[in-house]
Amino acid sequence: MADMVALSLAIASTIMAATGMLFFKKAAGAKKTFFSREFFIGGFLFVLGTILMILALKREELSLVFPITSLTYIWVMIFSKIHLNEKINKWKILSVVFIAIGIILAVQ
Amino acid sequence: MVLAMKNEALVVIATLFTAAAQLSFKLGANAQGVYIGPFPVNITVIAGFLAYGIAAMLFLFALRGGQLSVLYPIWSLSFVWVFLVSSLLLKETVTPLNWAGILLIMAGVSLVGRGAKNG
Repeated sequence: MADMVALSLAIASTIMAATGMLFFKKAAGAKKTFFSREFFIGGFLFVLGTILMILALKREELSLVFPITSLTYIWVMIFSKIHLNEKINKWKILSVVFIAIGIILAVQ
Repeated sequence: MVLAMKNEALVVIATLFTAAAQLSFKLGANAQGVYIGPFPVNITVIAGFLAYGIAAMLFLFALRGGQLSVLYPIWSLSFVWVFLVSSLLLKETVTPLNWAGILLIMAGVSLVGRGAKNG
């Protein structure tokens, strides 16, 4: 049975990373990108997400934890549609599916 | 010059920097030198952080004109570069299934370019 704390940490990590990326996109659109509030929030979330992932990897095998990072690509797609009004088409969906399966296979 | 490059190309270059950073951390993690508690402070690790910084900058430049849902999937290439170096240069064990996964990731990244054109 996989370590549930590790998996939870990993899932939380992916949500943070994806939210961080959302803020990065907002920062890119802001004046003075690298000094904007969005940049610091995004950076903070990304770093926090990375720390959670490292903690997850300390508790559980890479081959189990790493595939969870695939979720980040799915969150980003969803967040982009909801918060950035980006259009989702079959190519974007297919690319995320390929990448997710690819990541899972690459660490087995 | 940075602004003249396509956004996708900027992110691909950024992934090379991220991969270099991760390899730097791997090499520098247990290297000889100064330690602050458990954290190594050496030129390799510092170079890794700089590389991450450059990668982040390039990504933000790319995000100015590009869609997040198109550019973010390209980040999976960072994993591909690290895998290639680990398997080919560092001679770490990989299986055919691992290679299949890498090919799938690359296929996924090339598909996302089409996603950009179709809105």
